Amino acid sequence: MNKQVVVIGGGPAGLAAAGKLQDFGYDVVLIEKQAEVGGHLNKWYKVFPDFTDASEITANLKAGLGQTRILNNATVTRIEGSAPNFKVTVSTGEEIEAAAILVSTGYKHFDATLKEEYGYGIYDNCINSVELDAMLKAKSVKTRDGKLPKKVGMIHCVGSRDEKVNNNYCSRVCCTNAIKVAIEVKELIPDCEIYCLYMDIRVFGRGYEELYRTSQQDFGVQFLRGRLSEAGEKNDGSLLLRLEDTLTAKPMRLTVDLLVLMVGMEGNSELAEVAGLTLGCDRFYATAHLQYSNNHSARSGIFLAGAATGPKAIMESITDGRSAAAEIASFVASNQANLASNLNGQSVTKMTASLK
Amino acid sequence: MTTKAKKATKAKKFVFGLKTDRQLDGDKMNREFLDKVIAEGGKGAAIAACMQCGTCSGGCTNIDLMDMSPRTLILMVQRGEWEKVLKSNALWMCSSCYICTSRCPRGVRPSDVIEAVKAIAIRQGIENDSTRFNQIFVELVQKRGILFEPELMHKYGGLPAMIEQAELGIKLALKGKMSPFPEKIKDPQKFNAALEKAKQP
Repeated sequence: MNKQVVVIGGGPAGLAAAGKLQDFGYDVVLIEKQAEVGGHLNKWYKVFPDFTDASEITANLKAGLGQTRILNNATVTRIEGSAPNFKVTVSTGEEIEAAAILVSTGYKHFDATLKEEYGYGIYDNCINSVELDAMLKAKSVKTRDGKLPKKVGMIHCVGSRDEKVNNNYCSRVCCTNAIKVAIEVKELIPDCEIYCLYMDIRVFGRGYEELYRTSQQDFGVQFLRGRLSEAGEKNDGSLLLRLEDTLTAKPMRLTVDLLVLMVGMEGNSELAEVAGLTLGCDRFYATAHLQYSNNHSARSGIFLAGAATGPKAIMESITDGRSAAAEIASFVASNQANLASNLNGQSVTKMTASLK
Repeated sequence: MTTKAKKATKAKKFVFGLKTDRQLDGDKMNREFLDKVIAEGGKGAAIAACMQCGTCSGGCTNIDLMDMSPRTLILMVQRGEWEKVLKSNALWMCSSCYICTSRCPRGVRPSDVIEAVKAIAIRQGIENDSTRFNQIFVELVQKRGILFEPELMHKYGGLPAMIEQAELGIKLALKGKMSPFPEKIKDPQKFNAALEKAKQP
């Protein structure tokens, strides 16, 4: 029996899934586009809510990979056949047999230049959350002039919950991430004032609400309820923000030295055609069912994990990867003799409609 | 003086009588007032922890009389809007029932904040009917050790106030809720000593 499983994408979900699958006794081939596995984890400095080093998480997941064969700098160009006899063609020309395929290709960051009114790519002191994390990693948060910022604005929901950029969904992690980086900036520059411009604070996970409270009570991070409407540059390079302070129902002007846009997540649909996957209305991959088959794609033998099926925090992606590993193990073991059992007795339903 | 005041009001208005201060200046936000309130006894009041849910204002017993809700008051303290807080009647309309404080999901103590703000305001010499009433109340308690309501009415509002309240006073007296003659406490010296001790920091 073919006991080889192909995992596409070596981020937290893919790494976690590969680790568990090889524990179960499967031969795992991990295909990673970049030169290093780790995905977005390689960019992050620390991870909320407990400030774990991102590198520590990657190291932990890598340590569990065992005999997993890793193909770096490789993408999947073709998938032929059907379960349990897939033939996966890689960009290097190699053909790999697979009983099941896991797609854990993650997400892309929202391109903030699309929100022209925020001035990303136009004003020097308007940066996105990825760039701020790089600054924090280098332990040097400065404006373009090399000065320490006295006031920093954090804009929530950039590219999320916004019909104008065709992203109606919430990216889920940005609120908590904003709070985390706000604390880190405060630790680095104690007399810096930080203003978070939010619509709702969506801190849902274990320890997240506590982090929110800590940021207010112990670090004095200020929260202004109102979405940024526009930013304009002043002569000295600082930015003038225009928003409504909805708590007092009055328009407000606010000057900040550094503007940080908390960019949301967007679906990575590169494999949709190759793997025959459908997309939800949020342009992330559609799962067989939102409730009880959330690691199954609509195509038998192809599974999904991590942020490929919607915005997820690191911890959720790891859990989701492991959950997918269990689904794959069960699928390959039962050899789809009874496919329906893998979908908990339900046949695959169109879920793209159900997401509306 | 009057011309100066006129100029100030004139400067505030734009053409057609539109007010120019409709927009908040976010750059004026500062921690100074917050630090002052914390120093004045608001230390355990967890002002910074407020998440603006409005539970306090929803349950406030005197909210219909206030021009600023307890939620907004906390927000204004956070932002250092000292003048707006001072101008607000919320400070004096608060009956210290502590419903806000007992229901707050974040452990904020709006009643304590109001107490602290009032203390600062009084020290800065704020004067209004409420402060005058409180002053007379304290003076009378010090004088007799117990309050004599008609005397309080007289000092606070003069004869017109007494006449206005006469009907209520007579009813109270007939029901034995209020004595028409001033009462005395057993040991005024001991009481005054206790008051003196309480005044010490």
